[in-house]
Amino acid sequence: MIDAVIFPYHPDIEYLIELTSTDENFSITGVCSFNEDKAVVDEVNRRIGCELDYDSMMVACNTLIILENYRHCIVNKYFDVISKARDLNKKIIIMPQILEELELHDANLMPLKNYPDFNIPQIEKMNHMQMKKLEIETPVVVVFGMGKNCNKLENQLRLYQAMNEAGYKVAWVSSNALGVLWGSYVIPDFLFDQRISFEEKILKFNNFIYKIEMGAKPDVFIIGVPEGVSVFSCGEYNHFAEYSLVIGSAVPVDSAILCSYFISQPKYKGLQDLTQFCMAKFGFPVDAISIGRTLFETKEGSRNISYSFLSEEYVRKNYQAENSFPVSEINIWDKQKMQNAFCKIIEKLQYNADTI
Amino acid sequence: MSGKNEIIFRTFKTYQNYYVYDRHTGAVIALTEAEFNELRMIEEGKAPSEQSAIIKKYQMQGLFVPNVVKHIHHPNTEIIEHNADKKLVQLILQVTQQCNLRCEYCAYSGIYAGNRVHSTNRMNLEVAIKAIDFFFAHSIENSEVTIGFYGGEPLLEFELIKKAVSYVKENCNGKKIRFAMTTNGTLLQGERAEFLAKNGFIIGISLDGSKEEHDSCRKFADGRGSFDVVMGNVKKLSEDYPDYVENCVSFFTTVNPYMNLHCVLEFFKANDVINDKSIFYNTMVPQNLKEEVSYTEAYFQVRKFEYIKTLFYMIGKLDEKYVSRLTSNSVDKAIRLKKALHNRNELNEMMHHGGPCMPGILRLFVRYDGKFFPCERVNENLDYYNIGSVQDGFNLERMRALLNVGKLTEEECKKCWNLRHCLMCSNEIELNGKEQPTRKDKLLVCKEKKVQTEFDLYEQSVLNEFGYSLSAEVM
Repeated sequence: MIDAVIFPYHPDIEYLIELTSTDENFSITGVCSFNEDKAVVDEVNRRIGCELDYDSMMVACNTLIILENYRHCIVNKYFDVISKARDLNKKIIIMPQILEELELHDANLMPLKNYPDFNIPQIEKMNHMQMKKLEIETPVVVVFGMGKNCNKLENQLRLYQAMNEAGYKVAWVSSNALGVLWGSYVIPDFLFDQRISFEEKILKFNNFIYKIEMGAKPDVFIIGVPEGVSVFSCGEYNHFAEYSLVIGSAVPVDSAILCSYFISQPKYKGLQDLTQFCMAKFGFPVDAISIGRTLFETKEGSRNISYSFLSEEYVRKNYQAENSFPVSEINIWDKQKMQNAFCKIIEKLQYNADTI
Repeated sequence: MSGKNEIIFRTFKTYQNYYVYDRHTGAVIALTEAEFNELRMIEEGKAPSEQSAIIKKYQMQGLFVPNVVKHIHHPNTEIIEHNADKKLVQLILQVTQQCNLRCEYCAYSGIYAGNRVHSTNRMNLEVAIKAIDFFFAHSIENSEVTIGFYGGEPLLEFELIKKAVSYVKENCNGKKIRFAMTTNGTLLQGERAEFLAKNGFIIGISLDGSKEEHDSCRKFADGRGSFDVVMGNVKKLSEDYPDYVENCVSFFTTVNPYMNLHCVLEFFKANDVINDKSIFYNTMVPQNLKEEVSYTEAYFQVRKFEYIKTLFYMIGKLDEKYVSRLTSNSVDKAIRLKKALHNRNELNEMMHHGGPCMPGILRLFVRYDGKFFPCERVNENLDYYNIGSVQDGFNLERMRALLNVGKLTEEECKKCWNLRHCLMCSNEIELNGKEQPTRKDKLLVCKEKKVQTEFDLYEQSVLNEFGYSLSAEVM
């Protein structure tokens, strides 16, 4: 049983709280963050019924979960919080990106990574000239998106839960290390290695999935695709959709969920063009488009994208979809609609004699 | 303007060529003389657009699309609520309304109708802390923010500033905070100078050039000029903290009718304490002046000469080192226009002219008593600009109204050829004694904006004729 304090504040905490509220193995004791986040964090803690101050919170929990530094804040407080947890003999789980940023080499810190039982370094060392692309027979659903922060993890997690509830054995390879908290594997590091060729990545990823298939014998795969497929003119290239191209080439994809940033008035034609583009370019048959609650904007003269993590209230008030959607419509804030879309995907896979 | 079908365009010519600016695509196209004459006839309502072969020809190329704009509505109107809750960028605290100078052209000197004048009103620590807390509570999505101190002369309230900075440091350990201040420089010495330098304050010092030019306007209450005091402080600051001055100190020169502009430029050129790159020229705000201020012929001569040099630089005929800071913003402006003309994104049903920033988001100006205003430049005496307070939070309705100032002239904007390039915030509209801008007064500014854009398009086209191009990096 994990009783966790989360540091620092992250907009994803809002739905982590919701998801853990029904999880018997995982509860959130409280959230702590930088001093200036106090007003927002107090409100979050109030909602989860936490009235403890920071020190008492740390005493009460058994685990500290360190999230990534998505705002690029000054990192000094990370060291303080980790040191405190270490002194209190708490388990410290940390996102890999921030562990790298902090350059901490401490055996007590547990990076959020989960790989299958087989030897991944063995795949990494394999000479791709001798590798074959192997047949993946288990159906694959990919969850991919337009870019970073478009609620891919939440879609993967909820789909994972829906498939588990439907009685299927799911092997989930998450695009986000937080998925590990719910039992996912993570995307292996070789996918991001700049020294490895495109071809080699495809073969290695194919072998990685094949080994999971052989070892875990799942009924279905959920694969989260890191980053996005959109190239933004401000200079955020999303690796020119390399990860989608690699994954789409490595495994036969049976169904896909496209995660979009928040669009207040999505247009049928635009979405249809997008689904056709994803099929033609990546081989992703998009069965659902998930409208997220994050908005992005580019600042004139800047190469940075600024994200707005919108509230449920805001998205509900400002969303005006056309009556028809080219595929299933998911609104990340509408759980029923989401469930319906997942059911359709499960049905599609069930009635496909070649898959399930 | 257009003919009956509301195809909106603007023709213009240079000495060498004929052009048309197409509003829908935002493109400028070179024409033959015959094409130009035909389009000019349509523009003036002397010929129908429906039968024009030229219009048809260019419509085949995606231009001259009939007007699609149905509503004047700012695209940020809805998101302002989220941004006001989580994305504030800069807090500006008016720590005092008092100043130790009595500059002739100052916005608070009494020469502007309806504007406040210097007073003994000052912010207390409780208000400052409430404003800082409010700012932190409403900026969680920004990790780099600025907290500025403004007056009057802010250094008159040095003790308050010290306490506010200390409070910020105690209560913030994640965000990168930049402190900023605009000062007249007369009190920039001793402990104050040390404090600002050690805390990396970005400061803007008002300095109007040589002693004679500076002292003609920037005077103490007893009539003494402030040049010697300011320059003495600047020299000492440069000696004690050379890196700080190099990186964090700028100089603001207000170009005004009382000065000899040539002497000002010569002063800065010859001065070895002030780095040329750190000088920024402003002009006096022309709106709501009680009496019209007119510049001399000599001023325009100097300005035109510097401007011509800038144009020569843009077409590669002159080295950048000869370009004065007085006119160097023309380079940025030309780059922006070139990019805008190059982008060719089409208009939407819902549009708004440029100019209004998101009030309170990019800059939240907090008056001494805790009332909120969109920036330090608006008239604090007008309720129209009051967008909330530390006690009550934001007044979103007022913020949305300020953002949508284009609604005052909705019908005109929908059909205006200058909709894309018009940059106007409500503060540019003369109030003529009224409590808020009116349609009639806004239309007078529209006229000026159109003249400005016509000139910009003309300048851009002439520059192109002389080989002006942007580097790949800038594009």
